[in-house]
Amino acid sequence: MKNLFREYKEGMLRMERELGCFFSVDELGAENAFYQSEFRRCNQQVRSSVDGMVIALKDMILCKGLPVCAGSRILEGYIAPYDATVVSRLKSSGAIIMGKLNQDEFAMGSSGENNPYKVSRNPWGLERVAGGSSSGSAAAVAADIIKGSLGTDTGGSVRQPASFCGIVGFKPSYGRVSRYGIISYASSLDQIGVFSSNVKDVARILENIAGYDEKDLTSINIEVPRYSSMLGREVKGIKVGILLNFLPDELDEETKRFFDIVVLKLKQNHVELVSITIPYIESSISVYYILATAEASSNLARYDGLRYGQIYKTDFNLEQVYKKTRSAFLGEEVKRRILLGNYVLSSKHYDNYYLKAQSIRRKIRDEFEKAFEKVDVIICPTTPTKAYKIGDKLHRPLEMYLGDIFTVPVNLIGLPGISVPIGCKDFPIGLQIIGKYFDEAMVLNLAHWVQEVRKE
Amino acid sequence: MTCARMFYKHMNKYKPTIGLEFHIKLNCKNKLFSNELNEYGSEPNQNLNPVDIGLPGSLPCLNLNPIESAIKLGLALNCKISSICQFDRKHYFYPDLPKGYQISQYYHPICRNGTLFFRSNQGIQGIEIEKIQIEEDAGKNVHTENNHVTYCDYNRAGTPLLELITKPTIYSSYDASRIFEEIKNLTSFLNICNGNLDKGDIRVDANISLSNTNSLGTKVEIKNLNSIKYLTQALNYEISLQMSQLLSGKEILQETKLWNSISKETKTLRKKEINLDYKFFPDPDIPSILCTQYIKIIKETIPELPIRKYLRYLYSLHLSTSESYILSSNLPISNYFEVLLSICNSPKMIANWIINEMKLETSSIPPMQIALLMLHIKNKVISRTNARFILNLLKIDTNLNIDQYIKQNNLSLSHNNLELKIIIQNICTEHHIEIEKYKNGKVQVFNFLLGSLIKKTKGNYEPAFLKVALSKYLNK
Repeated sequence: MKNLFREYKEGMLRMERELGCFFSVDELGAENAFYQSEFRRCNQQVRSSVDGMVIALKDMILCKGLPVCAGSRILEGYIAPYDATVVSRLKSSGAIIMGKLNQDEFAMGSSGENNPYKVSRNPWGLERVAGGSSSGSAAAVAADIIKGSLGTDTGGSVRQPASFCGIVGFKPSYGRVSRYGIISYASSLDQIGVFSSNVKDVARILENIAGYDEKDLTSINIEVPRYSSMLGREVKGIKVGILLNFLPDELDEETKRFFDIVVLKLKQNHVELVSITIPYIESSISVYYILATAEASSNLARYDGLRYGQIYKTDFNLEQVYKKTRSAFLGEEVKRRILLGNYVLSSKHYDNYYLKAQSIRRKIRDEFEKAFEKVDVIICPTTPTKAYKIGDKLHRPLEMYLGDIFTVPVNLIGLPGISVPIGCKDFPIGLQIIGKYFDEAMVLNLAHWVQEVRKE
Repeated sequence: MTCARMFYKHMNKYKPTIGLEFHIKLNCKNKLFSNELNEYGSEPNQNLNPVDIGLPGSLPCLNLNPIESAIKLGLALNCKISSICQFDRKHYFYPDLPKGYQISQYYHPICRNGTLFFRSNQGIQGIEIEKIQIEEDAGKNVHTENNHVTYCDYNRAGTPLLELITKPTIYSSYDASRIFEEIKNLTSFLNICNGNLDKGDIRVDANISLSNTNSLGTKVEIKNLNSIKYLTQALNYEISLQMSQLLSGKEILQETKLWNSISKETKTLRKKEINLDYKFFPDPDIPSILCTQYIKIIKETIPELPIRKYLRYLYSLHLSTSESYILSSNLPISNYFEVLLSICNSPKMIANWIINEMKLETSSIPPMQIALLMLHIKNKVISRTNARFILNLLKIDTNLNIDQYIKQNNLSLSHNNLELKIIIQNICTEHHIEIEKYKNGKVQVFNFLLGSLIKKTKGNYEPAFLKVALSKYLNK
């Protein structure tokens, strides 16, 4: 039995050297959890649908005793003093936590390149990005190093890398999963997401981490269904909305072709297809970059090196300590967003940027709600393009921002959204399914159907 | 003209305008956004939880008690209560501020536009309250004296505060001090603040400017005054300082100052600051809550307010202003007074006993005991002297059986003329020289004799009764 885990671990470390998915591996803790789980299995004491499942965590998520740095030098050397709510739930469900995964610094980025340590590579082609910001979470699952992983999704950071790596990535409704113990990027948009190679395991992990948490005022107190036992239901009669005003010109030919195939299959299976338009949706990216950076500039104000993490040692002068520490240990993209956030929150620009963005956000929400009176789910591609080469967009931030066009609106409204693979010629392509508030079961069921139909 | 005379000549031209900002520490059990204890005087960094020191990943929870307290105070001050309670983040960098922002209320203060009535030597006056907002306190920087090291103690971080801001319509240090006093009384009365000023339960920042025109002068802020005395002294000092500066043609600089209670002067903390942009925005981690349902419930828990009580005591019970003030400013004492009053309807006497005889120490003796004593005095069962004697016994044995004690020790008032006559005769023989003097027209001696008589009778007779008997005896 011992060899089994060791063998796995060695294989894992070999692959890890190629891919660069992990920040830290908890060999001892995982081995321990592995044996305990094996013991339970032999004694018919299996605790949950994820007992014994090997998973790992994006580095935004605190796991007591393990380092947590959110991909930033400013938190280098910091050891998490407590478990995030999702982590304690996973632990008590019997899951095996392998370690902490690579990501963009403070989840700011769409390629995994924005961090001072290493870039996670796409298992489908090592010169390609794995997507981001949950780059390690997606790559490690795609390479089958781990069975599942948790990421965070603020503007698409789970769905986009899942699409790039050809796996399933699910962001549940805002409030479905507790954010307690997750390093905040943009509080009103952040949500924990789940990765796995298949919908069933995503459902299993989700049903074990979801649910109300009194430590998070934004978590919602409604019952969590057993998602994994609700898959495989018929899709006949479901009303699926196709976003018409939302397919930009730069949409990749291949992506469009695979998308059309899915639409055709849905039609063949008597799914009711409805064309819908969502006014204002094209403003999503602008709204997102105003609100997300505003909240980020506030959430990241605590990293001053005085209580934890790195501090720039200088002659005692308080202002210099703040300036030098934050200048030296925060990355370029993070600083860019902090500056942007400070700008939109400054009293001079607050009304014109922050308030206006909030009001457009409300309008988009109203439009989505109107659309959901007519349909059960909305589908669109997850990303306009496939995984690009490492370095391709690194110095073109605006282009990178636009890659989130399909995923960002979902965060602005707080809806559940999944990315499920629908095809792969050279690199994988994902379909995004967006559901109504707290109707994760519907989204998962349709995603499961798409997954199964592809196998045929 | 001498300098001093010029000073006084112009004194009336420059009028001070004062606005006050109170920071009221709430006596809630827990901190505002965590379940850590809201305690004073613990060892440094003991009452901490990940939220209080802003550890990565921590999120605030929300205790409703501070919101209730704020609404209570708002209702007591006739404020307009906001229908939603929403918190905003106020950003600045300082070591005692662990999150890089303070959670406060900026866009929607919980209460607005109220009036505080306060008692001054010109009777009752009102001062407009601009707003009351709920916020978390910061930690504390502790500086060591010799080696220039600063430590941070975060026990106070996250403890609930109310910030109450008056309109700048106060025109004297005296009024300012009365307002402070009234805030202190009112918040203890509502049981939302412990009111220990020496522990910093209420701190006030005073904004003051002088002007001899209709527009306001340059304002100076004196921060962190934690006693009524210091507020008065600091304002008086600042007023005369600014007055002399203005008279000698100097310009007043906008400054933030501190009161040094030892040297008795205001010292500059910082010169006019670059207007800090706090970048307020609604805290996305704390959903706003609807208050409307609470307001009704809280309204019912508000007791009769000190100012109402004061007026009632003054005008319907005909107590003096000072008696009314003392008895109305403290809830336990006021309640004690009213319990006694409900049993023995002699407000003057009861007020006198609580204030002068009991020295306001009402907490230990059950009110029913004192009420019985009051009834006995009123019904002429015992004399005041003996009642006083019993009061002293009650301080030791609070459950003393008063009636039994009076009976056993023969303390009840006597009307026995015969016995009294013998005592008077004895006194007269004892003091025959004084009797002579009296008979020769030195009437002052009468009081001396009456005094001896009262002493001798040990309070078993009413003084008035003795007076009549003595004068009858002497003038027969």
